Amino acid sequence: MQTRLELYQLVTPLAELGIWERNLSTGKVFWNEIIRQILEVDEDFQPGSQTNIRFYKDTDRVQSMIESVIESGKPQQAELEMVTALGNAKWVKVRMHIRSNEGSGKLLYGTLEDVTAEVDAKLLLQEREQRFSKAFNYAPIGMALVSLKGEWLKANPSLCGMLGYSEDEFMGRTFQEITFPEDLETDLEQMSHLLARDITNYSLEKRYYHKNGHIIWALLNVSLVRDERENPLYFISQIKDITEQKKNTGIIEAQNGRLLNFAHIVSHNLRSHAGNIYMLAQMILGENDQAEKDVLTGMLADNADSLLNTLDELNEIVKINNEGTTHRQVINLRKEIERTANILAASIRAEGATVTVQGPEDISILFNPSYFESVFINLISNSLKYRHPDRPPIIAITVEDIAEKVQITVADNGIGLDMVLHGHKLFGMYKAFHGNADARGMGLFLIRNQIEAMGGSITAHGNPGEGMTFTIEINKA
Amino acid sequence: MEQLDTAYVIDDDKIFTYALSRQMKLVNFSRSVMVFHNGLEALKHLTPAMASPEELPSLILLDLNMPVLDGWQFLDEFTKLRPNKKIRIYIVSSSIDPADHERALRYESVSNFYIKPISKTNLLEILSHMTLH
Repeated sequence: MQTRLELYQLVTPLAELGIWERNLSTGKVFWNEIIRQILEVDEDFQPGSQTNIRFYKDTDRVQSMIESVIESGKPQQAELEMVTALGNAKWVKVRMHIRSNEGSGKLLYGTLEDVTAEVDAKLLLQEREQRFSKAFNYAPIGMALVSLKGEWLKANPSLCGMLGYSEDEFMGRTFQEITFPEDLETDLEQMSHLLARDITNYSLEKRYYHKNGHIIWALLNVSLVRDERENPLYFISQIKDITEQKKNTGIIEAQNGRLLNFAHIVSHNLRSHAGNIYMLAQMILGENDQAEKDVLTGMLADNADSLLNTLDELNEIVKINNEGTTHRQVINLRKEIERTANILAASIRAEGATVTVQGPEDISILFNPSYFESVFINLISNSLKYRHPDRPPIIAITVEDIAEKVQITVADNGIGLDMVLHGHKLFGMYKAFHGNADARGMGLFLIRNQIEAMGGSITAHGNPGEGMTFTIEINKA
Repeated sequence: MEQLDTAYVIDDDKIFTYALSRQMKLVNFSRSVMVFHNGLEALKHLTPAMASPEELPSLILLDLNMPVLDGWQFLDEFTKLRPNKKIRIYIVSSSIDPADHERALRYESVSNFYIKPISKTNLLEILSHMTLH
């Protein structure tokens, strides 16, 4: 017995365990040294039944705990806040029980432990979790917790809105299932680098499928959460919708491409003339023969003339790209094509040509009216100009409804063109293919610019001797 | 400086070809200058001459932007001809697009790229380069 008591006296301070006992009949209280340390009272302090309770912040709760133990005879425990004699706030764990002693009546006894550090840590963790959960739920960008296998564990409302799935619908799926196939491999590769600790996080641009099937471009940022033993637990993904940005970048890139191309055209065409003027001027200065000088001066004048023409034509292109969109009107396709063809009635008759217009009568587009005229006058007169010598020209114009767009085809039975040889530059500036004296290579270049300025596109196909087909696609009004 | 035998000029700009051939005459560039206004005209002349090297030019000044058959298409066709005489091609174009320069120099037969206008100094440079090699 003696050894056990000794051991108990040794272990109690080691465990920092406060021990107390209160005789409910006499009010006599026992405290061990640890209790005095926790409460920060000196050796002279005399505990009394009421003085003990006042250390607790919630005295009512302690009182009711005591009453419950007395009443039920069952032990109780609680974590409680208290203020020490020196005014320091502490969290303590109180355990209490009751026993009866024949000699001295009922004794309330128990332990007291200082758990301030543990409780503080727990509260801090709770606060952090709350803060994370708030940030997660109210984040303006998509956020998700994803398992190591790729299953969605948690998805915030922004992500649900972005990809069209409810949080419950996410739960049964993996990110692999809704990733655009081409973008999957990079993502998986980065994931394995993250797991292997090669990197601490990664960002990439990738595509997801929206629940409706359309593509969402996203900027994805992934990091990995590990437990205290550094075992990987789950991924945290931040997903920002950049679909709109991507679309705009595409438009800007196309515009820049067109601008650069135009800059090259301008430079090329002005340089050709400037170069000639320079050479001719040099030759005039070095020439002694008056007759030859006159020939050269005539050439110089011609060159100045065509330089001015070129400037006018370049100006025309700039205007198309600048002003085109501001003069758009609703145009009924069938009606306006027929009206435009009528402008060329005399030439059509002179060539013995047939022009037909087919398709629904109620389709309209938004287009600049003078560009519209220009497009069809150019296409029809091209068909007449490059007619086959052996047969009367037939020009078939067809209007067709294809989803949100309209497709207009202009097909002829003329001499056609070797598309392998010339297809890539058919719509280029100053490109003429047949060696015709009146072909300046401006028509198709102009109408391509006009159609593109209206948001449409034009393509061509054909074979030598078999005619050409031009296809225009444009959004419906 | 030595004179070249025949030189071809392939360019659709008639004022330019007139001025250029006169300048070539002035610097005594070659015994004869033949002018073609697009790649196809030149090709039609070159193909039957393949068998007799003395009729082939030793140099071609070639524009890029031309109707019917342009400079690129001429180069592609020319490469297929495999002449048994060394024919050097110099591009003379108004294009300042670096992509055009790189593309042109990828052709083995293309020796250099000149941006218009071409000066007397340029012609003499070509001539000295030609006679040195």
